[in-house]
Amino acid sequence: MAGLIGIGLTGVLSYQSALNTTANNITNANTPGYSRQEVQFDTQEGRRTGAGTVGSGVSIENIRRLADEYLTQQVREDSTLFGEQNALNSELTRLDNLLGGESTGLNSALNNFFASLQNAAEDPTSLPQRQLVLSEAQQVVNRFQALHEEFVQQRESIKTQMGQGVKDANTLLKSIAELNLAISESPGLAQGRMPLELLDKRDEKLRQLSELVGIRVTETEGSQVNVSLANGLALVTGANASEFGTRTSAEDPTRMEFTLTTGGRSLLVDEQIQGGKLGGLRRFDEQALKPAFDELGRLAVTLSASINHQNEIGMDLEGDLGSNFFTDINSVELQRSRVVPNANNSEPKNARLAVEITDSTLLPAGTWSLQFSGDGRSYELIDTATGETASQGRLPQPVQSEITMPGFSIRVEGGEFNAGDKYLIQPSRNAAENIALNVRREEDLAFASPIRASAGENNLGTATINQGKMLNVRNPNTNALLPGFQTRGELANGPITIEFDSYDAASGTYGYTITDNTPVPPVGANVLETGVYDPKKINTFFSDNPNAGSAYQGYQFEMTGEPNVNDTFTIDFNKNGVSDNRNAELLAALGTANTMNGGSQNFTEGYAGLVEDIGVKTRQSQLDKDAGQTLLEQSNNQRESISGVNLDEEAGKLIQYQAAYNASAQVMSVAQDLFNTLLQSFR
Amino acid sequence: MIRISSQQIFSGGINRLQDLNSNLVNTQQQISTGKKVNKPSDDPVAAARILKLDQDLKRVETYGRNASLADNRLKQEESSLASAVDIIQRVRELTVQAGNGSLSANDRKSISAELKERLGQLANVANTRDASGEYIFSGFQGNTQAFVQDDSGAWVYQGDEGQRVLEIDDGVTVPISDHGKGIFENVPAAVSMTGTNSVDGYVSDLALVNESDLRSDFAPAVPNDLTVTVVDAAGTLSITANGGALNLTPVPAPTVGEPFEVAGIELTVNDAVFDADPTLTDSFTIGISDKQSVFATIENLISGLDTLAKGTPKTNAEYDALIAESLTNLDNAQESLILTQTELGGRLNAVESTTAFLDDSALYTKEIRSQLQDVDYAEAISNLSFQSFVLQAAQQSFAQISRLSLFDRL
Repeated sequence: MAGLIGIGLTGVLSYQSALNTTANNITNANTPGYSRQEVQFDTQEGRRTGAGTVGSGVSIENIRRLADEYLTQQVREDSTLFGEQNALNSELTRLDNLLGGESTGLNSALNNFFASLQNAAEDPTSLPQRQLVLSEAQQVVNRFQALHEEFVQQRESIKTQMGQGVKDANTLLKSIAELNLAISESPGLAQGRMPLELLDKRDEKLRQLSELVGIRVTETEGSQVNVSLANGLALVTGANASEFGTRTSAEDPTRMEFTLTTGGRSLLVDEQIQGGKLGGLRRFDEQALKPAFDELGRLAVTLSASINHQNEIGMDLEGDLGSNFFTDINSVELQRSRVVPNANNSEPKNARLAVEITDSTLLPAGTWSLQFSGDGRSYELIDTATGETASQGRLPQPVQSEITMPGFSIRVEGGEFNAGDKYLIQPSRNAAENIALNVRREEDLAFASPIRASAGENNLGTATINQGKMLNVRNPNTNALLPGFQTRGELANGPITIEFDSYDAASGTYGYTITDNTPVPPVGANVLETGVYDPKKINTFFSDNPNAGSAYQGYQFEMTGEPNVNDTFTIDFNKNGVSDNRNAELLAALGTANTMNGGSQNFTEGYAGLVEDIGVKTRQSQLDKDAGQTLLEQSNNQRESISGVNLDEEAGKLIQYQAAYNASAQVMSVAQDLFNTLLQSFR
Repeated sequence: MIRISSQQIFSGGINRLQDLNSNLVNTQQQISTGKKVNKPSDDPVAAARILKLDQDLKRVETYGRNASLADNRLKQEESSLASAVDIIQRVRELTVQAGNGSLSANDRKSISAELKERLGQLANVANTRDASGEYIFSGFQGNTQAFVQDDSGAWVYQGDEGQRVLEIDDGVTVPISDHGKGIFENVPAAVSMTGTNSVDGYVSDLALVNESDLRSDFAPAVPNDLTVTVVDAAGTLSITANGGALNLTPVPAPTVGEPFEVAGIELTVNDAVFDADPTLTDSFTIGISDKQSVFATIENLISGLDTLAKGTPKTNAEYDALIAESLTNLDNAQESLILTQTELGGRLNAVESTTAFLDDSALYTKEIRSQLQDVDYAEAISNLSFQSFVLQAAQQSFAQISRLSLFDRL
């Protein structure tokens, strides 16, 4: 009977524990990271009798946690993937909305600007029309600057988020290390009795960490885990945690880079931060924001350069040559601002470099790193996007020289270069910020062309000359004003006379001589060009090649028809030419001219390229995010199907254990009844 | 059978509801904006094309505006030219009147008085200004009056040969102005005697009778002048051109007082005398390729009517020559104006057809943009109702499932 009570007691006690465990499961049904627990019953060793073994009740062998290490790992990996895509997508969406918005984007401002030019061409003397051109141009400038400002704000927001993410990661690393210690010190570990809630907590912290950055987790002695970055750099070793940090990038002071401090030693781990929210932010900066800066800047550079040039070769309402429409893209400060020396360069750090935009049509959108090696004079120019070497060579001695690239050239102005020195070359990075209107007065818009031609009074032939086409007022090689344009308000060497002086009956062609205004005696007229005129073709006077000597005057004229010997035509400054709209037409035509990407795209197409690029990336990241979310949900479901609490199941167990408890108690009651019966039989 | 945790039932249900909600909001946004591409990532390729189409539309709109402005300008010019043609017609009538041999000197004076009025009128027309005050016939120099009277009272062109051109479609430009030099100044002049050293000699019955002879005799270009010189005491004439380089004297050589034809030009030299000194012998310069402004024509006519005294055969011949030349010159001027008018008509036609094309092209571009950008309402609304139906079903089933619990039965 004592045996029976004993057996009943083991049942009562065991089922009490089982009921407690079930109650614990029920109450923790919504606790994040909780794994359901299960009591494992075992029979107690029986008594051997002659008739066989008589059982002696039940005992609890273990209370275990239902968790699958493989599934936990899977959840962590999928969290890393989703964390990365989620961060990338939310940043890209912001950029996407900004660029594509009708009012926030650049497109309508550009369209309005060129439409205003087109309209102003109809009536070039109208000041209100000119005013409209200026205000639409100001709108273009405002859009460029506002977009740039938005980009900068997004860059700053990323930096803030990175800083916050690093703090969160450090808190988690510390918790994991502490939990490692607590677990290893937990009593009963050697007997296989695990501190279940601590394991759950640690798994949850590891999951949270994996949302921030991709990690690898390995189990080690004492049920501790070691945590490392994907490439093996240790984050947590046993009870020791390393610490993430951020600092301003030495290469590019506008950016932030990650460091990892272990035992007082700091390492740069920028490249190793992959996946998770931090990796996603880095990817956004690298793959979307930086190219967007460069691309928008390139648009600003090309727009400035082409409109500036066209305005410069025109004539304004007051008869002066035009000036830059937007700020000069090659001012000395801007040229210097395109080079950023690395903060880690060796002393004396006195090198002077500048980047000049030589041909905006060919200018690629990108960033390069100029790196010196050897004795400090060997250099290599590396495209930071692809990592490919774009150019390499040696600086001469003395170092003054130019490194020529398509669309721009790097001017080495002087100073000392050491092996290991690096310079960031950003031809268009900040151009959208630096664009501004240079023309302030309506009168200064150069809508006219400074040249015109007229036929001589006594011409007998039927040849007609056109009104000419301006190429340049400056010599492209030296950037100095061409001789004809050095005097204000007139053609310094004009009027220029084209005279037909001979006729060759055999070929039906005429000979002509072009002379400028040099007085005839004593030196004779200064001949600029002589040539043969074929009445059956369109004939061009003057050359478009700046190296053609006096045959290059910065403009060209065309003539057709049959002249007569001794016919003359006169080229002169377009004095009082206020009604001339030729240059306005040419300015307006730039709206659809293919001035970008080596002459394959116009401004709208260039901008559409940027919008499309960001749109594609956003869409891709949306798909990736959705896929990542599905994967994460699936692995969460798998984990839940093992570790999650099902309340119906627990209710069933509750009934089951309650019944067993009642029955065990009934066993004890039976034992008491038996005892009483026995006692009574002796009374 | 897969084990399901209670959390899964709830979180799974809530996630599905979230998805359905976001789809529903998306569809609702499409319906309320009328666009299916609300941000570039909705359809990046379409978004880039829409930007391009927006640009095209803006340009078409601008071109349309330019075309109507060009139309206005061309019509203004046309109406100016029409009044000029009317004035010249009247001047021509007056010239014919003046040619009437029975007119007295006073009659001629009164004709000349009206001619002066008409000349002023014509100058006004040539100095027409547009709405913003620019002279439309001054070429590039719209602030410079096209024709100004110089000290001698002659109307002189002040502008240049510039022509304003407006773009009314991609690569389609239309000239919207003409310079006065081409219309009023460079008018081919009638064949006339432009100079002589003779005291008594004169040329009569000078006329171009065969223009093709003139052209063929002087290929490739007709020279300025013919020179008719008396070469012997018998009055034999020699005719040369190009400063004597080209001898055109017909065989047999004509003589003074005898009508003859050379290079399609008919004339008679009267009362010319010979001198042994080649520089003193009578010679006459006949301008055959001159240009004269319509103003100069009328000015010459007026001064002729005012000053020429008829009576001698020489002055009579001069008077007749003046009337004949003036008539030819006026005809030429009228021809020049009508030529420009024809050109204007052609440009107006071009503007009109371009406008029609622009309208079509705008319509077409809008249609493409609409296909890319605009939502198909039928589809979107049926989507919306289907999505709301699904959402409703999901909500109801979720509510029902989440109510199920064994604990309720305990």
